[in-house]
Amino acid sequence: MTQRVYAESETVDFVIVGSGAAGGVLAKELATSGFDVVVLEQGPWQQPSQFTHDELAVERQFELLNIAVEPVQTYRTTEAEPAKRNTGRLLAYRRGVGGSSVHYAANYWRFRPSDFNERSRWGPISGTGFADWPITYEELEPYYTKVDWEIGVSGAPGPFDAHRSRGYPLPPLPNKSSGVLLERAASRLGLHAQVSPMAILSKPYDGRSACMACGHCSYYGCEFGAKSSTLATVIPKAVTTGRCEIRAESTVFRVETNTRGRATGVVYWDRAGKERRQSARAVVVAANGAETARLLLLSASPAFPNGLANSSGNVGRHIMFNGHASTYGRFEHPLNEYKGAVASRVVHDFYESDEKRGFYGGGGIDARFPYGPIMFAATETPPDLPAWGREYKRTLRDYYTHTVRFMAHLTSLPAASNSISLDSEHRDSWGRPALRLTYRDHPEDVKAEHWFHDRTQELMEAAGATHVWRVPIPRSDGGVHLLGTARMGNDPRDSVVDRYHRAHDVPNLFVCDGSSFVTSGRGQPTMTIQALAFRAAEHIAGFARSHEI
Amino acid sequence: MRAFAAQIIPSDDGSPGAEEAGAVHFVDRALGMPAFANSVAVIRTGLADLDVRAGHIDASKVFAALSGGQQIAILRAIEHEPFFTAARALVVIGTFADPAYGGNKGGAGWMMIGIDHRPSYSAPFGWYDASLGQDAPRAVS
Repeated sequence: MTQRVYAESETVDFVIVGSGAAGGVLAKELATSGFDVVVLEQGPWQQPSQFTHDELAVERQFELLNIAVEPVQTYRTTEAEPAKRNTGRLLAYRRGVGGSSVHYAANYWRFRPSDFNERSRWGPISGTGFADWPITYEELEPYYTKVDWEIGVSGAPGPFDAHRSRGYPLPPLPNKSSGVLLERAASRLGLHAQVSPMAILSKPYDGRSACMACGHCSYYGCEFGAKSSTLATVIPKAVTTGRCEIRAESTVFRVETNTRGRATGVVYWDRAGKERRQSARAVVVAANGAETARLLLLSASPAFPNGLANSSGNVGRHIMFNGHASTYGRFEHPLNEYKGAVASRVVHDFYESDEKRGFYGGGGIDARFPYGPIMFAATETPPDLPAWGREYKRTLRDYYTHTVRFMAHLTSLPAASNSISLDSEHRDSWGRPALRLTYRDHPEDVKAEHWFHDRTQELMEAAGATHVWRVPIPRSDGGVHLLGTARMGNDPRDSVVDRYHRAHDVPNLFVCDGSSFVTSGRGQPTMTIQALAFRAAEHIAGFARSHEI
Repeated sequence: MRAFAAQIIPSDDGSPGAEEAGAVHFVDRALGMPAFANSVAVIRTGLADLDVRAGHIDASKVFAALSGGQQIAILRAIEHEPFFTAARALVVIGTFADPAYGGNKGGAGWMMIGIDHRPSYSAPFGWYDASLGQDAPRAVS
């Protein structure tokens, strides 16, 4: 695909930092609206044909992720502690055109109306910045529908879903054995298993092929283009407009501002490590909840001493990962969960917070087994069975094709003390301060994990598993959902961007990605990230047209 | 290493184990790869230590020459040590990684655990979805 190339000397309308779930959508929408757009992306521009099923490289060595090339991050539980090199889960995302939408599992749950005003309904929670969103579900609904139809989401409505203005564009993917078992368990417990909405094509759509059920979704790129990553969907469309350049292997390290407090462009390293500059009338940061925060903090200047757009002190704060709790089960007959998409059914009966449970929090429980044989054999066999020898071999043979986990995907609270900040004592390969995570699980989140852990076990037993074992809940020393670090709000003292994603402090700086989240949702954020991006793009284009930027 | 691999995932009842799947060929190659550079010293030292321990049982024998039961006894004694962890991981990877890496010959590792390895599949995938509508009630409203 040939693309328009902009000279560095040219001042484009928008420079977008990041080409992931949000950046890709913003690029396509702004270019389609007639603006000149340059997208700067840290990683390479891979084509679907370059993605493989190589489990060693992808699942074990994280070939597609930031942590393969930049493993140095630091971690502490409170600001009073010295941060140490993080050897845990790390803040993980993909570098490359399409961002983490390339390797995501593609679960596309919408939020519900309650997600947007839960603070008003529930009340304050100690130790947190729990707040309402400045927008409602009804305001975002048209953009959820836009995501469904623009990128291609397969699904069917469930009994507890919020209002939708239009049906799914594609029927559900095939139900897996795990989905049948979750349905059976739910029915026995008086619960409901509904179709998991997936951003994977169940039929050919918009010139793209349908899913081939190869079973390599989570952590992998889709070589068929059937997974609706921005690489496969909106980015080619953005380029086709002739008004969008995707500049890969371009690592932005500063947003520049002038004496009037306006953004003038960004400075970045090209693939050869040479420092370059791209001027723009407006800057859009969509670099994910970790890198967006780091970039804003790195862009401190005399006018913005605490970091750009950080007069509230909230840049990097309130990071949320989404909690999880799982139970494994082995069944009499083969499930062959290595085939097909990650999940086909989900139980949403526990989505809403319920005072009767005695804690804040909710979530959905789906059935999934996202492990190739290396990962299963290395770490996931039942802990009460031998991990080598004759019996281990029997376990691998009897369990790999017969096993699934029921997994709860949960809320996380936005604690102001949980943050991403700059660690100048550790540097990345470019010499930038490392990402420092300060995080301690909020007691309510821990209660939610334990409560949901029991529910996953009950479901597994009701499904008729012959061997049930719980997965220990790890401490949160990283994650792949990077949410809340530049949150939206009406009050500039308490939020970083306004309801249109415009920085309160900088009129021509917009921030839109997982960092915009005010609350965490129930564990599947990308659908909402993209709905926000479609909505933001419409408003940003409107502001640009009416000279309000 | 061959003897070690054969104890981690043994061959039995005519079914190949890690050794027959070529895991050791993978291990040889892996130790030359940057990703496993940290394991080289611990593997070499650990393998030498297996022979030292074998010598304590029978001064005339190296680990590979011991009986299966004697080898298992030695491995039980060291199964929480860094060498065992690193070597076990390499054997597992060598058994199940893409054959292009040198192990998992002809997909022997995949076949061992029942994977019908293909580039793509079509539904039904497993027993329960295949029997949908026969014995499994649908609960979706």
